Amino acid sequence: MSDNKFEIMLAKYSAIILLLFLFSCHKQDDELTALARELGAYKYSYIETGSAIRLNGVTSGDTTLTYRGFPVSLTGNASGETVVTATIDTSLIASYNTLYHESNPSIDANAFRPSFNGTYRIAANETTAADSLYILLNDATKLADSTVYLVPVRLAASNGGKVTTSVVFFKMMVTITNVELYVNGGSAFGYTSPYARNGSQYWGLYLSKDGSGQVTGPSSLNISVAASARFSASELHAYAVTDVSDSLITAFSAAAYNTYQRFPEGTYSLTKAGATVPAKALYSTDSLTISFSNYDAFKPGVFYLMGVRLVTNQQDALSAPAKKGAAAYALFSFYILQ
Amino acid sequence: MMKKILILPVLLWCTALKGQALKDTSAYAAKLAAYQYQFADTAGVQHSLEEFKGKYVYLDIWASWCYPCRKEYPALRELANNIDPRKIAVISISIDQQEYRWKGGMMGYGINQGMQWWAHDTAFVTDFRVDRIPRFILLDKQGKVMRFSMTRPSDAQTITFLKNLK
Repeated sequence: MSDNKFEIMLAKYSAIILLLFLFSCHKQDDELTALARELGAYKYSYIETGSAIRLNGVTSGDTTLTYRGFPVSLTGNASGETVVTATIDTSLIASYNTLYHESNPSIDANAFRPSFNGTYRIAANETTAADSLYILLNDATKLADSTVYLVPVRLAASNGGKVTTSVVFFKMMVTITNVELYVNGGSAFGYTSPYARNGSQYWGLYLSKDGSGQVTGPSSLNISVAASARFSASELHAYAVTDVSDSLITAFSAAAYNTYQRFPEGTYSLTKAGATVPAKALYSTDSLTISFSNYDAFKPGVFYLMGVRLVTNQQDALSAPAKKGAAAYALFSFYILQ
Repeated sequence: MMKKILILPVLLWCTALKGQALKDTSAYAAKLAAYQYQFADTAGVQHSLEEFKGKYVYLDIWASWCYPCRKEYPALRELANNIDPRKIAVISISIDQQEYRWKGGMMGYGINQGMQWWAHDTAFVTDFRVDRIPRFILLDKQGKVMRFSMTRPSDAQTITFLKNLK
């Protein structure tokens, strides 16, 4: 074997050994290491806020309140029109939690969506898309109130382009308000209109007798209902019952530093026990109606009290719960002048 | 040649736009009254930045759920230990929504040195346009904004800038 042939063979063997060495040493990054490598330039948490209104587990009016757009850029000028696609990758939440020792809750794939349907066009010879990336609250049904959600977004460019940042993390603070109903007023009788007293709408009527000894009082009064927030998905149904319970009478008497008695039986009835707040509205278009009769049963010189309380109808999915406490009450006080 | 002639006005226009945006931000920031906001310390005691009237204040806006913020913390401590505390106050303000998350984050991540306040008043976050964190703000001795978005503690320029303040 000539020296020349030997050198060639030696070179071939060396190359094979080198290749074998390289292949044996090069390990594929595991998922976390790959992500950490991708996030080398992870410098900011982008803050967004979103809100939704919830009725019996169904959310509506999902709104993105504040956001800061993330510029979608390529590492160099686009050779031709390039489309960058943004996709929410929920699988990255677990990796993020492991990498950064956090406990961000998992999210439903449908809960958020990227702005501009996740498509960002970069014109030829440009590096940055005109539209910026941010996250929109899409469906808060499975989200919890007052919670910060991590929303990871993957970016990928077409046309051989390379994005400057391939993974962007957004933190969205989600607030979910339960829609509730409350009594917000009603019809007047003579010069007496309802007003807010201890948190309830209150009708305090001083009634007098006419020449024939008959008490002149209202035959009925309307009670209007309002929602605490606009619910866009559907109308809301209000239901009410009358309340002359000891607890109500005692509590009101104590708050008023006066002694009240419950309305006598047979003097009141809820002739319209339901009302509707239309979708996207705050106020009911119709009213609850309380009717009064048999005024002879009221003794002059005594303060009487009764309440109409908003309740939930478990059989009706559109029945909105009432606000807790006094706001759920319409209170009526009669005093017959002697 | 023609192309260059066309590009030049576009570049000038873009620069002017950027300059205007900066001007707008500076004008906006100049109107902010940093002393009006209330913050709570870990004991629940209410504080105002007015307590540092006469000093520069380097604000570190962070949250327990922000990894890039937590990453800056060692650099922030280093910076705080290398500046004159009689001249500059360094304050970390958490924008966590819940107090327990703020305190839990401090405990869990060992962020327990220096002045730690909680911005329970969301008006501060809104008014100072905190839409990404970490964010650093420099106030002058009268509580006016000197740098609406200041460099990070990990940036070598920061300590140089702070040390050169008169």
